[in-house]
Amino acid sequence: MEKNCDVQIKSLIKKDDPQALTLIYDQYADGLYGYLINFLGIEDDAKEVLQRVFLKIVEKKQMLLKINQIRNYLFIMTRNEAISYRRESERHIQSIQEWETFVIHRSESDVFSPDAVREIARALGKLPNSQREVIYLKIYENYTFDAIAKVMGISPNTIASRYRYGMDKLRKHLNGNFKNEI
Amino acid sequence: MKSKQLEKHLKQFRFSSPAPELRRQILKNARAMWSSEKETEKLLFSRFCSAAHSWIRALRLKYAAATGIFALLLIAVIFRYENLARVRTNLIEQFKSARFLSTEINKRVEELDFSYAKWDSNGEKRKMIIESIQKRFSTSKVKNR
Repeated sequence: MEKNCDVQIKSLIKKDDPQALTLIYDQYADGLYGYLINFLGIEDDAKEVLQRVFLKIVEKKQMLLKINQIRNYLFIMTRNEAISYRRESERHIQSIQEWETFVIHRSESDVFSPDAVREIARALGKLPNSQREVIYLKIYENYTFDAIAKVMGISPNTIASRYRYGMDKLRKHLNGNFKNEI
Repeated sequence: MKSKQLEKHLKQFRFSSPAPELRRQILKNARAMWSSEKETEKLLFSRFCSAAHSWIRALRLKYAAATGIFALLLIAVIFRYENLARVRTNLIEQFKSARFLSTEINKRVEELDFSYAKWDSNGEKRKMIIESIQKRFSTSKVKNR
């Protein structure tokens, strides 16, 4: 499915057809946006960086023809953009409350009660950025540790340990506050 | 709670997709940039062509002399290098001929030695030398007495 989409995107870029952007957006924007929410923690910043990422895609569209997996390339690009944006704006998540309000506002769940959603958001918010990033890519994007290592530019062992520490922290937090729901 | 179980629970917690308005805005901006890039490429190409054209014309009309001088200099340099090469080959030739001469001389000397040996094969020269020495010796003896 994703491979077919990549082939279509590449053929549109070869034809110099801007329709490729729509395909890229429909296929990858959700994942990138979720990643940015976890990375930056501020909705406006996530929107801004997603905009920048798409402008960058236009700028480097010829590169997309050379690579095998567009998804990996886009995640790397998004991460780099987010890092440079954070450096420029010097803004970080102000507090766990801010993160909570934001995630609760922007999250969806048919399974959990609002209290449970708040607990998950709080637990995720308490994690260090690097661990939250790994957990997002592993759980929501189904990335392997090797693929995450390529996106983040560090070794798979470090990724695995970050994931383990993050999951331990989440488990501790949720075991205390969220036992009744599960 | 086990890891797999926790993963399963976390998967049910979904982050929402970006708003449709954001989609429209992002695609609009990106498309605008796509088409403006195309325009810029065309503009750059036409500017490059016109610049190249005027440069060629200027070169042909105004800087013809400069081009000529440059060409002459280039030719002079080439000739200079050719001369140097010729000198080098001459030196090599001379060196070769010098070596040839020395071998010739050696050969001649060897031949002379050989002829001398032939000439002295009967011991005539040696005889002459001994005789002259004896003569001198005898006359000096007489004088002393």
